Amino acid sequence: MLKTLTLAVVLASNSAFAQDTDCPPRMPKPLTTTRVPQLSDSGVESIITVSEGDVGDRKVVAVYERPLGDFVGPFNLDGTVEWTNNTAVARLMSVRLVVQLSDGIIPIIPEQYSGEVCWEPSTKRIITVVRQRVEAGENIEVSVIWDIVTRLEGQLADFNGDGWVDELDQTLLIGALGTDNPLYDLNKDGVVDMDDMEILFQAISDSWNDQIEAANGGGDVDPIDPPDDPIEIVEDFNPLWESADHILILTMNETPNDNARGGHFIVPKPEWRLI
Amino acid sequence: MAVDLVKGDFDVADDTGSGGPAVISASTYGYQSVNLSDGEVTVDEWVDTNPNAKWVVEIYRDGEIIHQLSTDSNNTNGYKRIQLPDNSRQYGNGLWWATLLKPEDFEVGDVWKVYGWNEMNPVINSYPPDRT
Repeated sequence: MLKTLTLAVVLASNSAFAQDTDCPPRMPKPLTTTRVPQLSDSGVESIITVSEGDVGDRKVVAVYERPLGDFVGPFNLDGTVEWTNNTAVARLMSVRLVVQLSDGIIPIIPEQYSGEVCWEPSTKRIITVVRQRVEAGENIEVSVIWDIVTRLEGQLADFNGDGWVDELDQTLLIGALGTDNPLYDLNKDGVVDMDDMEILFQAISDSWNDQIEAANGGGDVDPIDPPDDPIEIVEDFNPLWESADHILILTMNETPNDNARGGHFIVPKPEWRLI
Repeated sequence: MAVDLVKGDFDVADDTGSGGPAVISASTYGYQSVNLSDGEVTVDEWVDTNPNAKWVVEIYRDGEIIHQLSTDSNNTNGYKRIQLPDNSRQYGNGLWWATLLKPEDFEVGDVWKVYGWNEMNPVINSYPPDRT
């Protein structure tokens, strides 16, 4: 018998920002998992995961695709879980799926996924638990779908993920006014409105600059502010960190050797130039 | 690769890994490293005498910062953290950290900047820097 259930639908009417809640712990039976990157001309775009568990008379196979966890924006998981119960009794079967996000990225998980999708900040993982009653002798396939969004940690109003909360983000929010898109629903009240705009205004990024003391020994400070952000001078170090005891600046004159070292990309010493 | 030693005791050098010499290593397993050489003190001695250090790593492309990571000695045990020079056989005296840039995305002209503090006492702004 084949059934299809949908765990959740796209986009929530009421969203919740990631919370430091206890996620379900690892389950006792291990899965054999294979993750296959899906490539395009621009590189890895998504990862398909196949996880299988088999104890003879019961079996679970989870197949799902999700993007890489290193960007800000819509983020979804789409797949299926197939359950098989060849025992003589009904069983409550469950599986725990794990998606890793990169440092500095956090998910915004809609309330509707509560109890099924959970954020584990300590490991930077989104945990999805799928439970299913499987009758004796039954085979069921269940769809697993969730759609959330990701943000830069600490900059929830930075919709375009460029590191600044500015007029570009304001334009995006204006385009979403009146919708329930959780990406822009900053106060989590279920609608994108001027209250969210006010939150964005309060988060507009200020900026600052710094300059390095003149290097000629005179101790004078250059009275002219750099016209642009100081990090544009790539040979220089970031003035933010001038108090460091050790500063190394490494400029790549050629790309690393590909797989010269069994899974490593390396730049050996002879290709370096010491100034 | 051009190396500017702006400040401090450390140079860079080939590591002692089993797969051949490498100063920069970018593994597909999720870490990258710059191998440090001995200065006036060996790296081991430096680690012993500086158990509470701070580090910042930045990558610039065309003058724009594209990736950055910071940590201190309290954060050296977890995945996706900067690790102190460890003198391991595989990675030598590498200062290594979680992947900031996928190896296949490296480009000629990329600039890696590594900043280290011998102690955690100096007040160092969190990274990315506050804009308030």
